[in-house]
Amino acid sequence: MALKFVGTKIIPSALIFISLIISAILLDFLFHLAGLVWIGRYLGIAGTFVIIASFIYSLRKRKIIKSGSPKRLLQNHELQGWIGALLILVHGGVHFNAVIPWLALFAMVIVVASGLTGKYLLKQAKERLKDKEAELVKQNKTTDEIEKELLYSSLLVDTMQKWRKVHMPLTMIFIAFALIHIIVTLLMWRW
Amino acid sequence: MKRTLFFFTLTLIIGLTALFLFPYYTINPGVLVKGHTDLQNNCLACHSIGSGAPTEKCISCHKLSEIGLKKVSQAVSEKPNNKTNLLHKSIKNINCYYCHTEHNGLSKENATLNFTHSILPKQMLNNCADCHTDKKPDNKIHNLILNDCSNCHTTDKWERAEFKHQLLGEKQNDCKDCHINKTPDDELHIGLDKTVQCLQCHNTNAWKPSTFDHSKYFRFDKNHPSDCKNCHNEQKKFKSYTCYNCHEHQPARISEKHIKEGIRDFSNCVKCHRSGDEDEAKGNENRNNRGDESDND
Repeated sequence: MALKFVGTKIIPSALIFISLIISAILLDFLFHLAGLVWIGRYLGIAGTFVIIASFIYSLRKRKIIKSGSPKRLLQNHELQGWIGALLILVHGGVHFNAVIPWLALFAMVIVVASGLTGKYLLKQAKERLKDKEAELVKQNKTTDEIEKELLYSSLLVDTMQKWRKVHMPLTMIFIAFALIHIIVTLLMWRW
Repeated sequence: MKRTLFFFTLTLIIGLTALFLFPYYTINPGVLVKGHTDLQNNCLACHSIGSGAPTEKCISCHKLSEIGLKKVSQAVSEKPNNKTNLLHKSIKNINCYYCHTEHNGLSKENATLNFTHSILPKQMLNNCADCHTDKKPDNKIHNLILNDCSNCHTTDKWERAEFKHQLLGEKQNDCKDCHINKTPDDELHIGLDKTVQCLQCHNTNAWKPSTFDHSKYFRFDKNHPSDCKNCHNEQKKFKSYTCYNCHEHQPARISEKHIKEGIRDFSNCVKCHRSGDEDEAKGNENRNNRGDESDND
């Protein structure tokens, strides 16, 4: 039972995270091997735009924009978050120079990990909700009664709200550090 | 939402405060070169907002006319480098970052990117020896040619030289002056009269093919290709030849054929056969070769 839980719930999320780190190291290594290290600088810009695009889901969720399927946008949010993070990780490379860009990078990795945790929690809460629905059916409750009971069920809402209390501040810390890094680069770099 | 904004604002305040207090540790993208370490917390000493590190800021300390000769502190350099000085004095309107970089480590070498000749003014490009004072090789060929290295060499690499004999002027006719050991030691070349010049058959573009007219002796065709060894099978002897090296020309068969025609002297084939065309020989036949007729005379 415990093994099945680890295999079906924990491992998929962990694999997504590990594949991100391994892909970044591999890509960075290949760029060094091919003498194309300079590309890394521009991957930072590309990664930033991809991550900005991933925030469309957040805007839709807060009803700032009103079109688009939330489910589809959430999938995009996950994918764009992964790709954007990969590009920025390669951009950062393994260089320990300035503290602020490194804090931004570190915060970004934590946000990705937090996002994957949220993905896992959402899946788990949905399954628990399904179990509860099955239980109510067994108790011979009517469809109306089941719907009413599930509507007031705080299972899904509670879990995600608790998680969001962690995910959002982390995202804000990442955005703030990244913003300082971007503004300093825009001001100091020759374009 | 308020909580989220609080974290954003707090991080921003902490980050900006750290940035202003410790710019070197917070935003510096790499270690400065040794000579610039005293500027590490003064970004604006080299940078201008919005325009990177402009040349004006570099040359306000590193005066172009003094680079290589004097230090920034105005002290005379212990190892004055006239070449460096000449280079920097001559280039104008070139951004320093074209050749130099920063934040790349303490070593001075790391701060110099690859130099390219393309930044040099035309006048300087034509005077290679101004900078490459020790590069002109001391050998016969270079001593014969004057200063314009770019006639043969490119600015990419010294060794991709394309030598042109025309540069030697009148000397280009004295092949043996340079190609001392290059005269072939075969019978054909050794037997040549001393007055014969290489250029009578060869040219300066390539040794082969020569302009030696083999068709005066024998014209090649598809059955008689110009592979010397086909007929001249004695090494380095080109005056002797044989036609008896193939299936077609068997001594017994040739002998029988010629005797049948009444030709007795057929040892020197090319005397009559100047090509693979059998009929051509009929026109060239020397009736005197017909042993029987001459015998009868």
